Amino acid sequence: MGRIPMGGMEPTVQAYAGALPLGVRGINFTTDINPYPNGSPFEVRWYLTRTPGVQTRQKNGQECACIIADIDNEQP
Amino acid sequence: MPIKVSRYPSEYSVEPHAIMWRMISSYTTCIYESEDDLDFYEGASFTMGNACQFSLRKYKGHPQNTCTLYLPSEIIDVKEIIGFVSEIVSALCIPGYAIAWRRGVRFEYGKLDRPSNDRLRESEARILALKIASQQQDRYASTEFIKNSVPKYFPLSSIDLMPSEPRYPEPHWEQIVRNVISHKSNPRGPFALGYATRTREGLQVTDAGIGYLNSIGFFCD
Repeated sequence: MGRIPMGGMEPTVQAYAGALPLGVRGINFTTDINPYPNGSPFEVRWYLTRTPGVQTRQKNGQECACIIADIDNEQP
Repeated sequence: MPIKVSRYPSEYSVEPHAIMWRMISSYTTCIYESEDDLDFYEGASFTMGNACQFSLRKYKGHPQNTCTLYLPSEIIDVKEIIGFVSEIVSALCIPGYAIAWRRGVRFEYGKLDRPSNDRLRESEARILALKIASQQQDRYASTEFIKNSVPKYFPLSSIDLMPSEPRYPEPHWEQIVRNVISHKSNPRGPFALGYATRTREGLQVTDAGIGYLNSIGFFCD
């Protein structure tokens, strides 16, 4: 799930591309939704209005972009 | 085209368009720490000419010794992006072999190798020597000091660490740095261009040298 980034135009899910290195905190996830084709080898983004399959959600009164994903590993 | 660098994080949304196998400190002393919805990062914000703004960032999760070039999200035309990236790479004096990926080139998510031909060459070492000496007292640095400092600015590759044939077992990169200081008459070198004067043990950066480093965004505006 992602908010509107600072200076951004719309809610965006942002993530590193690839699996988390061993020992690094974070969440590994996979999704069938293709990211918007403006990423890099290190980063992926899903925009609420520009990326097919992205859904809208409300969190703390803010509109967020949301993608359905399988979470493989959540570290404390 | 001259580049100015700001002390403060950019306030615009950005997107990644090139990745260099270099530290941000290779390009500027004006580095801040910040965070956004992706993660914490080190960054530097630049303006090229009067219009083109860009940033270099290294997010916490990016591989060591890399930095990513970001342009404002409002620039969406791929041809325009590729043009800006080329101009910025040229203005920051980033050698082509340092670029591990740039917009328009296919890539695989989560995977990026350092270019196999990436190593320290004399053209890059000349600018590094100026950058290192310019931060010292009286803008002076000995060859030995420059050699000791280079690894803080340049990630040495396996090719760099191979022994130099004529000066075995000195590593190849050290010979490259030594050549910068000893090749005084090289027309593209810092002495011939007036950016530095040769001293007994190294070099001293001139006002023209500082002006040059300012023009490529090395010091804070």
